[in-house]
Amino acid sequence: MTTLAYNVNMKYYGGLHYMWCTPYFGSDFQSPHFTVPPISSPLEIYETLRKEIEGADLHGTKIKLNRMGVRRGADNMAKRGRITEDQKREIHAIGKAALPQQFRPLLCVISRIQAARYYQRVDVKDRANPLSHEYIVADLPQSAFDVIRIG
Amino acid sequence: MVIAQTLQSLNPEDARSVLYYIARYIKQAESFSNYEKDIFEDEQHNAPSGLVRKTTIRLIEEIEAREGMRAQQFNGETVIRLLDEITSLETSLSAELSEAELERGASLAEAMVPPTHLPSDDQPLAKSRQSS
Repeated sequence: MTTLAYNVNMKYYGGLHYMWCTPYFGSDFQSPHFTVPPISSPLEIYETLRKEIEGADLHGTKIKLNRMGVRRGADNMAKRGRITEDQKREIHAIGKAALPQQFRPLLCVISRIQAARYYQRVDVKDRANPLSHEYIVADLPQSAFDVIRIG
Repeated sequence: MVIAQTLQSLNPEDARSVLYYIARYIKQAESFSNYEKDIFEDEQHNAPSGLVRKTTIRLIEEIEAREGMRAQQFNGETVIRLLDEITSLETSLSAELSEAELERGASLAEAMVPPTHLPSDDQPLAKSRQSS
């Protein structure tokens, strides 16, 4: 999760979080033990965001996609009546005006037991490994996970 | 051009969702030979409508026809170019924000720093520890 998304969740969505998760973080995605697609690797995502923030990657594509995700999240929350139209506009403005540093990645460590009520499993059809899976957690309270900032 | 024209027929929220799922497809394409994932899978409240699904699929076909190849054959440069095109189109969907709104957005964003303290739902525990 980015620092921006974390703060938007805390400020506008009652401290409830939406995340895609995997049971793996630091595995080399070329390892036979890593069973989710490389683009779903938290470590890969973390590194991509870090490089873009530090200016090593001039495209900044991941940050642009994150801006889109923040706005789409606000659209959905407004549609569900969880935020007002004014708050939606405010989040759109935040997404547009935020500096790259605000997209600094945070590592969220979620206890499987704590998250059980909030997750749904996503099947990833891995032709080499039938155990591939990811999870979507929604409306996850802060008390169900730890946040670690690296660097 | 066809993408922009098609999006004009949708409301901004649906158009944004379509672009979001197209981006998912393009990002995942390089892994299609090893992994297969439903690009529309989402938490129930975020699930795409039939219109969003249909439009997404149509525009993916349009993009692949324009590029002359399936998405799994796109090289890194093409992926970045297409994702830039998608995010650029998405930026143009937002309702016009005033200077004042953007200034407030910048100010709010600037205050959004990494968490450094216990969350509020842990505070009663911290208090009870102090009082014991």
